[in-house]
Amino acid sequence: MDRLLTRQLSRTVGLDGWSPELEKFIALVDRTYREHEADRRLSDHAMETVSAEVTEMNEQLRRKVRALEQLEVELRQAQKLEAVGQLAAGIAHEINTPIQFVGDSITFVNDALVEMGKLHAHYEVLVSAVERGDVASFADIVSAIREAEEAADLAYLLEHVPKAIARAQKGLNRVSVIVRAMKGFAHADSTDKIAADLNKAVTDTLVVTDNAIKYVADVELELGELPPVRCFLGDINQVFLNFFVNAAHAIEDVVEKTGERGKITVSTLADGPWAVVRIRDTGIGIPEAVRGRIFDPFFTTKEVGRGSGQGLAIAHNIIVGKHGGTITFDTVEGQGTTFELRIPIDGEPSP
Amino acid sequence: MNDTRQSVLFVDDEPELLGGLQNALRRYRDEWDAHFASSGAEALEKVADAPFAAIVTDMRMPGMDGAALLDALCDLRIDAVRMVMTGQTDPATTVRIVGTAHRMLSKPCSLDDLQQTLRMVTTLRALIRDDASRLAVAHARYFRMSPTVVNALDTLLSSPAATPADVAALVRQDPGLAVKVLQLVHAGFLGKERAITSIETAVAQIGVDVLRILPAPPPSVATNHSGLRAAGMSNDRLARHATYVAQLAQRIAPESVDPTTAYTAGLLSVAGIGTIAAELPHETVAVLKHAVTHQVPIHVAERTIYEYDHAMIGAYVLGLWGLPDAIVEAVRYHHSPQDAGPTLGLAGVVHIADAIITGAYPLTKQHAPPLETSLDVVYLSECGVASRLREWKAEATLLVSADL
Repeated sequence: MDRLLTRQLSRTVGLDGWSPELEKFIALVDRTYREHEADRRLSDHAMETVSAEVTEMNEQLRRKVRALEQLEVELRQAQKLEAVGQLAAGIAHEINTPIQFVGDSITFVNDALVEMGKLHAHYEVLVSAVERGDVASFADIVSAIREAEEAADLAYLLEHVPKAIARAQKGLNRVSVIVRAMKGFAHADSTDKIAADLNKAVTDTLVVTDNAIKYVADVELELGELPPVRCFLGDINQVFLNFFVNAAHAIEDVVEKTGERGKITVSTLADGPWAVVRIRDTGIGIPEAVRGRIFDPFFTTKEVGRGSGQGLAIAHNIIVGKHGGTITFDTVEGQGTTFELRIPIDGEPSP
Repeated sequence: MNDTRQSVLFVDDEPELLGGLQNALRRYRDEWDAHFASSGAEALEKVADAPFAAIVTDMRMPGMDGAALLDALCDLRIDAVRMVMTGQTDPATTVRIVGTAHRMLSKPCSLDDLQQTLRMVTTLRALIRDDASRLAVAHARYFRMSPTVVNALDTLLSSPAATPADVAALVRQDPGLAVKVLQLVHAGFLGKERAITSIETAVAQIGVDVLRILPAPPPSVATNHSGLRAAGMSNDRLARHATYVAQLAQRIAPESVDPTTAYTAGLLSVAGIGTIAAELPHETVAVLKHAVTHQVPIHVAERTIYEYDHAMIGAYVLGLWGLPDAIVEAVRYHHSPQDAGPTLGLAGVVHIADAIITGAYPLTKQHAPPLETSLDVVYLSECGVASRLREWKAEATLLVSADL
């Protein structure tokens, strides 16, 4: 800078005009310029730093949001696993019982066939005697046959073999129903909403939760006409499961005190743009003091091992958050609770 | 026709299951007289009317469930073998019924498994002809337990840092605790799994968390009984005596005998004494008095006064509870080892350890029967180990004195 200015000035003013003052002036200008330049660089640098920090903060925020979303997914998955795990034991029991009696029935049919095979050998003797025309031996052979029939208890076999086969078929049907319902229940989570039959979702989930319910309550279904509902079916199944198991637990608390079975009534209907599902139980009801908190995450009045307090929070998130629906409830302590779920049929939150 | 069949009652709320069993069991109609009840209440009505050798119940039933039925059968002092057949074999359920159910069968259960288990438990049951002691065994849910060890275990389990090794170290010192742990580990597996005779392995497989939810033994078995103590035998002394037998058995086990199994068999050799002392303490007091007065071994006193001895009772109770056959057999023959085989086997090892410890640390201090009355010297010679007696006695003295 210094030299450039000097050369230009000397060309303008000539050598004669050169003076020590001018030289001082040049030095002053030069210093000012340098200082300004340094300032500018500093401020440029500061701008860069700030902008980098903002970008970094943005990125951090984005990461945190992503982590939270991930956590929410994991939490929901964990709750689902917990619920399914609790049910798995119950379902195993449901399947083991028919397998037991199918197996026993087949064992019996097998035994019966062995006995009948022995009888058949006796009949063969008779047939060949008839073919030979050996009339004299008939009486002996027939009495041997009667004896063998009695030993085999033929009357019992003839009566019970068809029953055992019917029983085996019944058992296999029962296992099929359970397996089909589990397949419906464990419907793979798709990323898109699909048009689903909510009545089937209700019945599938009831089969899966049967073991939690059947010892304490009867189930009454009032399923109305429902058009296909666009929804995340896996999530909806999980919501139903939470409500059914909660209803069973609420009734269980009554059964323990009074010994009387309760009732769970599930009804569905279409109400304008809404699919409405109501779950009514004759359980203990929700105490007034906790009514405002039941949808809070981790809020639970259940003892350890019976629930982690995630069920209703997740139900709320799924119905209200993901589907734009509503959950309301009506409860009377000592008499029971009715939950009402409203889900938009077209899958879009109404304006 | 003379009916030698054993009566068995099956209880399940599923009529098809009972129908299937009825059909399938027809194969064994000469052996079992099968009866069926569709609820706990109906089962209780039936047991009031007729005796049963065994009762097999489902767990989950509306109204009275299987666990409640088993409790009621215990309270009613029904001497039938109590079995559960259930589709639920989770630890929480198992822990809840491990005392009241003698055996657990898991659904689906093959007819062969059912038949074998029924045959085994009813055969064991037939060993004990004396009604009072058979009822005592059927009723028993616990042996006498050392209050010292039980309290130490309580304290240990209340710490989250308790390891399986710590827990096993305590369980090893009490036959009552050891049998619970072995019972748990064999519940519901029906011999298809490898039989576990090691207390350490059992504790490790069950896990400390499950042991935490195991119900505490009732005070009636985990405190020292005043009558027994007056006769010189406290629960603590019984547990310690058993521990010495176990330690010595482990040390003298020849190569052909697994030392860990020898320890467990030695510890549980007092199973019969622990059971009778828990259920019929006054009989045990009488036995101890007789044994001291006449300076004879306990089993001789038992046979003199009653029809049983603790080897039979012990084998019955351990067999009922599903412990491995090797242990049951060793306990059964630990006073008559020659019946278990001509070479030094598990029963022989326990026999020798028990006889020597009876000299070094008897059940009551006044009990000092001559060694040759409790030790089968001929058997020792036949096994070719008579020359080692002096060395083993020295080991026993060391064991006992190291602890005093």
